[in-house]
Amino acid sequence: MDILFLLIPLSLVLVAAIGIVLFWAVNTGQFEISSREAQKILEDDDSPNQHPDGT
Amino acid sequence: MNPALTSQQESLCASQLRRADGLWEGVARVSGMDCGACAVELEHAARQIGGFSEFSVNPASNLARWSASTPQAISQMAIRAQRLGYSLGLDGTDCTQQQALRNRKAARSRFLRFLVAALCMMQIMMYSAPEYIYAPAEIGVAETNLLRWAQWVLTLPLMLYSAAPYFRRAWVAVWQRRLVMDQPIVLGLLLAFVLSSLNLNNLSHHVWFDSIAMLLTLLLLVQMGVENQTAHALKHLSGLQPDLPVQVEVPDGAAWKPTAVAQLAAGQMYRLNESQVVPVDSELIAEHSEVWVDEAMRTGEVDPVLKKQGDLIQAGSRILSTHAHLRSVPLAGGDSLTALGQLLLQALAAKPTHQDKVDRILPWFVFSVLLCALGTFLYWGIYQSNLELAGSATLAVLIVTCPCALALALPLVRLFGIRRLADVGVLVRNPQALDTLAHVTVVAMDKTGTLTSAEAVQVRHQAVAGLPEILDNRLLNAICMLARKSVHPLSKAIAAHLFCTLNAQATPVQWLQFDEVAGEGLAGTFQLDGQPVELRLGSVGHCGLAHVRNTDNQTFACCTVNFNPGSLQALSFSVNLQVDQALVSHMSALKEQGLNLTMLSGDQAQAVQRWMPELPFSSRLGGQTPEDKTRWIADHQARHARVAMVGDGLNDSGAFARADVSFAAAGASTLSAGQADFLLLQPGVAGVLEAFSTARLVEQVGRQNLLWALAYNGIAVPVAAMGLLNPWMASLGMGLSSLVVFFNALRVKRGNL
Repeated sequence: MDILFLLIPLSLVLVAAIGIVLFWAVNTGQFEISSREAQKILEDDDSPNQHPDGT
Repeated sequence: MNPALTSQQESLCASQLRRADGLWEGVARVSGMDCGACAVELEHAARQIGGFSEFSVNPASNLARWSASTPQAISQMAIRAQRLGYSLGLDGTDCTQQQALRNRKAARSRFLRFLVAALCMMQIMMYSAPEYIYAPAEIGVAETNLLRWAQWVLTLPLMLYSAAPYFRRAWVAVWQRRLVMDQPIVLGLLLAFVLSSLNLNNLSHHVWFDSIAMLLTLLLLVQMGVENQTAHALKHLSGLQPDLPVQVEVPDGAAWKPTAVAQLAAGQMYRLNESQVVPVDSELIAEHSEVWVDEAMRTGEVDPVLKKQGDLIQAGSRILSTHAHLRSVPLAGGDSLTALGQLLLQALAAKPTHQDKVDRILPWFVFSVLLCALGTFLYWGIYQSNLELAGSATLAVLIVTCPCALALALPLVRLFGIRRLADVGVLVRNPQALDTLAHVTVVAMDKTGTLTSAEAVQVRHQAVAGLPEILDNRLLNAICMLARKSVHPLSKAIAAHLFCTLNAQATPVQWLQFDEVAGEGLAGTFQLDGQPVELRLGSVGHCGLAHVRNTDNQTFACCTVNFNPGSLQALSFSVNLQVDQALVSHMSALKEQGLNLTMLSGDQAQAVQRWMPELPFSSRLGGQTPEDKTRWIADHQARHARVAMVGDGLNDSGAFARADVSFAAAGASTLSAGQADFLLLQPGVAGVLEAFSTARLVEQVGRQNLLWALAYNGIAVPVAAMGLLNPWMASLGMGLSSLVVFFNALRVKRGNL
């Protein structure tokens, strides 16, 4: 079971990494106003006719 | 060694009013509060300073209100508050945007603390699982030690970050010599952590890191749910509590100087800036002759309203133009202006009393929990000499008792009741009233502006038999301006009618004298061709035409012009006010709930009897003066009935104060809105019906919750003290018990039984 001595410290590092990601996600507002994300898709105008000169 | 007083503290001192009994009282805005516990903290600080006969902070409106025996007490308090991290001031430094920003920050940190706790809990449970299944010898001594160390490392963020608010609150309470429910929790956490850390390498003893993690995660989950729901409910309520200025600018020679609203005299001129809220009912005086005003707070009307010079602007309206010069209007019925301004602010600053009740029981509960824990420790540790069992049993007692469930049982249910009512357009000003409402049996209702809306469907005018009709345009204009000075629905309707149909120009009139008699009408005197002319608008009695009979069922008003004694001109108006479509069905539903419905109206008895006979009133009383209404309510209360009063508050303020529960109809006057327990945002009685059913639901669910919390604690504590519970079972039981209370309360919000 020597592998535990590698895997368990590794899992601690993983927990720390997940924690950092969570901090980032919450502080950039990823969990707030989730309906806004759905609207963004509609607002984002990526139609090919955006530059009439180019088409 | 007092630090030098800042100008802010000096102005706080100066804003106080000396009451008749010699006490100094005042109202101030508190910034820096983020929870109900902060209010308790400030109140406690005030008690320690001394000199206050009362100091209360309303966490919802962020207003503090006090009365003190010396004027200096408040500046002492301001210094102390600053040291605690709050600030007391007159100006609204804490604007809504900053508040919203802080709320968002608080919500994020709550969520993060929970996420960190949940993440660590999952991992810790994984590391601790082998020890529950196998003996350390089977796993291997080195491996067991490794697993324990990993648990210890993951418990650090729990203790240092997730549990930080609990440590802070418990420490503040210790410093203030108070007992709060955070203290047994913190004691349990510390005991578990210290004992486990000491036994980290002693494999014959248990470690309880998993219990710590589970307890914290469940606690934070419940707390997050509660705080998010509270924040949501407060957001609804803040709509009703506008950003009332505590001070305004008054002319001081050529310049302007700030003065506390409480010190404004009746008839005094003052100035407001753009987007400020009018603090007292006021009259517009020129600067720009027209001002756009947002009356949404008062009437629910979303579109801005144009106000001309001389028009009345109700307190709570928001000024949309750059500057407005206003003159405060003395209140009809003789209340002084100071009383009005103070009353509104004090009503907003008043704290719901139920919080006090919970505050009072909790310390004793916490005290008995600590006593129980001590007893358990002494019994197992000394009498039975079993130190390991002493540790785990004491821990189980500390953790398993659920002050949360007890503390949340009632306030949470009430909170959800308030939220549900806010969703259907009823604002609860006094949460205590929800309890009382469940026992109300008699409902008294005003007619005009309550059962009918303030909107007129049809206005007709006609001559009065035996008197010459008013035809002079200048007189019609004056009547229009007189009517505009009142917010009564009839006055509004008549003013609009005169303006549209009779082509009154609505030019300002210089009033020599003006008077509004509540429940009767308006009177004003002005100069016409060098002669004083008296105008009266209101009931037949008010106009001195008591012999005139009302010919139809509609509301009746007449007006007289008194050039010189003996020469009267008159005009009568019949106003048909709009009635909510669903009124009859809502009234029948109220009747079915077993309520005794009575109409108390100031209109003529005959008209009241004949008006909408399909409404299921058990009695209809007409010709009621404000005093009659108050007396009627007192009579029923003497017969041990709880009475609710529904009115627009224009002439019901006495009845509002007398009734057990009061409802202010949509667009009610400021004063009554400040007095009423419930504010209806939509016309009609749908809100009253909803309030009754919610009040009953709140009572029922509240009783269930309290019973559950008491039963849970009553059973769990003895079991834990006997050493029959592992700490992890205790933390699971505690968390689940809180969740049961929370989810049961949630039923009130959804509204199903």
